[in-house]
Amino acid sequence: MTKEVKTREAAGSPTDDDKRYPDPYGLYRRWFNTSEDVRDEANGDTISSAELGELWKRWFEATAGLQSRALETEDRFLGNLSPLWTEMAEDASAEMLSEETLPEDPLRFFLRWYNDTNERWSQAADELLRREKVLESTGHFFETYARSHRELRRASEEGLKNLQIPTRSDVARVARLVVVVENKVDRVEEALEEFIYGDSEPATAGAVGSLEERMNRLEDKMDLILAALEKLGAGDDPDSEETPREPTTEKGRRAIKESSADRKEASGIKAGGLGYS
Amino acid sequence: MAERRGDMPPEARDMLDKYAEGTRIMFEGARARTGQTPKEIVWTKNKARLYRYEPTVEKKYPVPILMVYALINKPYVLDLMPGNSLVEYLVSQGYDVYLLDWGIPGDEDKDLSFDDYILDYLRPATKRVLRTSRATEYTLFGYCMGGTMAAMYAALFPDEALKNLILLTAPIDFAPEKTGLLGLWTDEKYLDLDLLVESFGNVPSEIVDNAMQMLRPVTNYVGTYVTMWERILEEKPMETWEAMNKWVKDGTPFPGAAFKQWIGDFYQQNKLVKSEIRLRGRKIDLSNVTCPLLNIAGKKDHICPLPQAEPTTDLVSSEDKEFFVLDAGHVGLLTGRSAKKHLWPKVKSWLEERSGNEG
Repeated sequence: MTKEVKTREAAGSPTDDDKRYPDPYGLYRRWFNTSEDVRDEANGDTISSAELGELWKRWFEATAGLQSRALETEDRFLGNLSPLWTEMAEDASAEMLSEETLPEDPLRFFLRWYNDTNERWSQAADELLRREKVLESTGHFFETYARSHRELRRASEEGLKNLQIPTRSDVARVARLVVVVENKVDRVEEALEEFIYGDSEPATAGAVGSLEERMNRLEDKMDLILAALEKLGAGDDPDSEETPREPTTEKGRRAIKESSADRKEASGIKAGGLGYS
Repeated sequence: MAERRGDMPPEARDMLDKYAEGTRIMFEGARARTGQTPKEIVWTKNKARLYRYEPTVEKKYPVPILMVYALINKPYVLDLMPGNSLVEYLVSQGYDVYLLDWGIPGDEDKDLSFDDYILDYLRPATKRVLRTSRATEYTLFGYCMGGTMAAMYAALFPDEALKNLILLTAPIDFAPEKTGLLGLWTDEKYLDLDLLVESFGNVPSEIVDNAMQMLRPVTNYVGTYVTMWERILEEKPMETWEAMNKWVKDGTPFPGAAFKQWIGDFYQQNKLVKSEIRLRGRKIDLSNVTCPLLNIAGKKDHICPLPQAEPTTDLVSSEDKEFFVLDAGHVGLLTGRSAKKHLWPKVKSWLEERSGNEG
């Protein structure tokens, strides 16, 4: 063991005093230690980087190579990832050894490996996902998935129906009715709000009164115009003064009615007064 | 067991704790308190909710902002967590902010289409915003698919009330060469759309989430957890990571009819840029958009690649328009350090010139 390795142990592995609990990274540690032992045995402390690289290459051939061969036997489109895997495994190993310290546990090892390789993996995945074969397979997968889901749903709905248990579709049907009712209530609410806050206002007594006043003024004007027109026509008619014409406007008629009523009332009072007295 | 743990050297105990935390997150999922900015519900319809965020400072701008999110995932990404929330930031700058949450569709909502969402949900929501804020104008802010919906809405109702339009990574042009992997996967050759919708009704969130994650499988399935372990081992804060991870996995089903339109009309036939989309017979023509437009996109966005968002700027008739590009991904431009430095101040400065400052 070199000094460097001892330092690493102090930082990350249990010391003799602390070995009362199981070391969760035991296997991982053994793996690194063994590789280092091999390195030490073969070359002592003076191993060159080229030799070290060769050792790691052999190690990766034994581990990563297995993976790569496994990939080759997979589907054809996955098989194409095999060279990439090997290449990245080699790069990762070189990268790992170029660092001053080895990762303390498998997780840190993985994180370092991911950060070194993720860009190439992403690129490979993107290329893979654009391949015609992958697109076709995904399409078939979704089709099968959708069909199975539909059949399964149909079968379970049928089964539940036979058991007279409400199904999801039944609940949805009721919910839809509720939504329809809710929409109707919303429309009533909207109409009411339009009425209250919108342009339409309720007709108040004041508003009606002012409208009546304006109408009266308009009718006065109409009567005046008509009277003037009648006078104009009366120049040619000698009986015009004895036979006054009915006013055209409602106000005029109302005024005549009121004045004749006043006259009747006045004469009645007179007569009655006389009679009474 | 506790006794044995006590016997361990501190480094081993520390390492064990870290492993336990990481394993817990991996198996149980991330736990985070998201969407914390105080808010009230001002309108509801079916599952949809319109939130109004409570002001923390005096209102400075009379033009309220209505945020619209996509039909998939949840909108709390806009209000991720305290200190990392666009909503919180805008509220703190004196804006009156609203958020339209579409809710989680149930089986009964499988027939809801974009026609329904835009005409029956978004339309009344805009009216409610104006009424609640007693405003005459509003800003529409759409993110992702919500941006596409906001653009369609602006084209359909280019009335004087719509003061500004902000589109954040909003896919508009779905030409095959622009849509990336999503375009390939949704190609008619490989995807039987009718079968999928007929079988599932609403398309399950797992399918949508996995499709999104498969756009970058190594980063999303492995890299995310590499980051997690690194943060745990280096004892860095985990809150943001957990909040983001929670959001990524917190998907909602895609209503069947809307999914069919989204894939069929948008991805497969690219109808929007051709003005061939019709909502209940009403043609969507983006050239009808005349209000000021801020169109934002991310260089590293793989969900809405830059070329999908860019053409909007040319398609609208607005005289006041800007295309703003950030060196970020689909979500990265909205949250995190980079967002605080680039996106948020940009939105604020663009809006303050166009929101009638009262201060």
